[in-house]
Amino acid sequence: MNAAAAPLRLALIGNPNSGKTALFNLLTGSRQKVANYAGVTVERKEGRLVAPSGRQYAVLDLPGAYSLHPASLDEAIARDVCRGFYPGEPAPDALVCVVDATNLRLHLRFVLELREIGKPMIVALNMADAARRRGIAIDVDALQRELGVPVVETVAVRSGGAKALVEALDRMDLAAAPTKPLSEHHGAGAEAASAQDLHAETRRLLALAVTMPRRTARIDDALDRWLLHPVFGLFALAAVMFLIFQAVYAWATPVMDGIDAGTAALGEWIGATLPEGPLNSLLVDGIIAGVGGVIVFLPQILILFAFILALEESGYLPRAAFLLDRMMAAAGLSGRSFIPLLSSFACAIPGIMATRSIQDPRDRLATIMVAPLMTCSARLPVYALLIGAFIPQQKVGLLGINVFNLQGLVLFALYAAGILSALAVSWVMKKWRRDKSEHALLLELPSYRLPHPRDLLIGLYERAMIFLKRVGGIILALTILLWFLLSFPAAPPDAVGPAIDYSFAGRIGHAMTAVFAPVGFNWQICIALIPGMAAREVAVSSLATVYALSAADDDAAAQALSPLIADGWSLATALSLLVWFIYAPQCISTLATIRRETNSWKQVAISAGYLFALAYLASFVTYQVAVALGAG
Amino acid sequence: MTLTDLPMRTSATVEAVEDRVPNDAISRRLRELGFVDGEQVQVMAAGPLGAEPLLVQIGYTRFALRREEAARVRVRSNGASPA
Amino acid sequence: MSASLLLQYVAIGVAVLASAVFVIKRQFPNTVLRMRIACALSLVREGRPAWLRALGKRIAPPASIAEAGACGGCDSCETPSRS
Repeated sequence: MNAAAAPLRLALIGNPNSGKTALFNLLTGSRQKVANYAGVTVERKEGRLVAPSGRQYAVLDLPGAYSLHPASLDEAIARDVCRGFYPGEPAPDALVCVVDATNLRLHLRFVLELREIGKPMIVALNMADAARRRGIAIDVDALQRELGVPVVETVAVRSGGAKALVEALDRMDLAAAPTKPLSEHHGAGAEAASAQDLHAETRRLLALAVTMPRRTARIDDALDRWLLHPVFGLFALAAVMFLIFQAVYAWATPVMDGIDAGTAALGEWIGATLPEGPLNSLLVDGIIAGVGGVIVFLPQILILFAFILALEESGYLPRAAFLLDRMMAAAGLSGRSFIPLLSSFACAIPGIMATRSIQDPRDRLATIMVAPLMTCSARLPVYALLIGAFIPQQKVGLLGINVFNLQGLVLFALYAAGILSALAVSWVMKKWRRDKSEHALLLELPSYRLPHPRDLLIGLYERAMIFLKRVGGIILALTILLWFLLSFPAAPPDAVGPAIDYSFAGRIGHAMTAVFAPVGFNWQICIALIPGMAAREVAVSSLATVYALSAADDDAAAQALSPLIADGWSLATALSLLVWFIYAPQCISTLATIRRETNSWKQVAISAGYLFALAYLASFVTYQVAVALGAG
Repeated sequence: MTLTDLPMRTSATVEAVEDRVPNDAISRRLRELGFVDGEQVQVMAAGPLGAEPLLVQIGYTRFALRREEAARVRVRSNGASPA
Repeated sequence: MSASLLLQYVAIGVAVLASAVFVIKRQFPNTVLRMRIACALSLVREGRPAWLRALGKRIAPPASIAEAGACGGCDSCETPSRS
């Protein structure tokens, strides 16, 4: 075959919400997150497509853009890559312009702009199935004739939905530039066509080739009437978030019990089979206890993300941004901060990188500064451990009707605390900088879509893989290192306390209590916080290892972490630790990302400084108040 | 009148988008998104606090706009009945 | 020291060393990069035996940024793998 030929470079470009990313997934088979919300990623995404003809293509998924006049860094990158001006990025051989067939009025203008570049181009009318269902009739031949470029229909969410596109790609002659660019029409020469010309041409094409039955889907209208209602809309938003946290506890518990039992059984078996000695300790007290202590929270993480992904897919999230915009603006955050901050609920790092889509540098900085306060997924094992050990599994409610799971309520409260703190911090920053500039919003609210089960499952699978890679990677490595530091040096012969106190890490832990005693942290917590700086979940595995090694006998060692700390710690300590984790920047990688995105060590120092200070202060208040109230 | 003066769910026709400052990036973006002469526009909803942002439907797309952004859009009524 | 115990200590040593290397590579990728470059440079200097120079070339980090990924490639942001 022609395996020797270099793959052709394709660039996928189009408006946000055109389903471009879903099409990219379909073409390349790679697993990327699908969201119909503008500006989610700026990362370079490339995949490989091997057509049935044998031809190979390197496909680049560019950031969504509305126009070649960039309004954000995302769009500037998209424009530069298309034209071949982006440093280090070879010019694409051909463009695939992805448009939403249900909304050609908006998307067609961009097609015309792209045509002016003069590269070989194919137009993909995506969501052709939704268009047909709504009764929108598109004369593809007429469009093709008038545009002078191949036009194909695609359905990115259906397997085989890109067949026409791939066939058109194979047929495409790369030497031919598209005919009939607008500048020829108007004799403007090298000058680009004006906005008015583009719109005139768009309307002409629409009149010629497209028949629209109604302005917008009736469903969108009906849903928005309620979901954007000032009272009902906010109520619905609160209810949705509330229910998610209830489900996380209600559904996860049986699976978690199963994982716990399995881990315990494995630990016992290895402990009995292998001869006594340091290796046995490493495997049982170190690896199995530590890693097992974190893996047990996978079900909760997956359930939470199933909901978040479903919300993203459905198109509901921009509505939430709509309802919350005023509140965010009052706190000094732009409505465009919503997406980066939402991404931070998974992990602050892509959230901070997503702030590149915010034009105003001060808004961007404010968003970066508060992103670490969004409850990232790594905090979940820590919260879950403490809630599981200290919050009783009972139902509470109003007026005698007890339907709300108390544990779910506390988790919801922790998330809410993070969000409210972020708003408060941002508000303070706003006062500080006396900002009078305008904060642009201009947010598109796409059509509602039913989340596609396949995309949801792919998204969940990716999440699970990310988690398991972390567990098998950094968490495992740090657990081993911590075990080592807790086991050596061995206690001297005249030792009076437990052996672990004399180990390297034991001594450090005890030294740290001088600083952390006012917030109620014992030495085990102190030492767990250090490897916890690499990943928050490691705090859980570290605690598990510390307690496994501290166990007086075999029976105690076989106990799971949760009952151990439930017996050993006071409620005040547990609450204090929970509050610490709301604020403390226990993630070196996040700080490194802030450094990269702001290009400033000063900002990193300020972030780390204010977050640790907040954490200590909040923990201190929590602990002292709890002790005063009798929980000490 | 401007978009902010338009009663809810009443169709109107866009006349022009005015610049607030020289080389107004927001106005240019509004024009690029379809706020040009002759297009049909409606205000569908308003946010919970302070009637902002406004949910504006231009053609077949819906946008959330701040009042300051919407105030740049000059419209004329076209005698159309409310949606 | 018995053979079994020695074996155990060896296994533990390997595990600990591998973990340490892993953590350093992940948390401080830039430092590792610079160290590799410094080592490699000192090894490939003129006058060194051939095998040392070959070793130096092996230690040196990959040449192009594109190979390492758009962001410099430290894998800590948890996004699904680039294909």
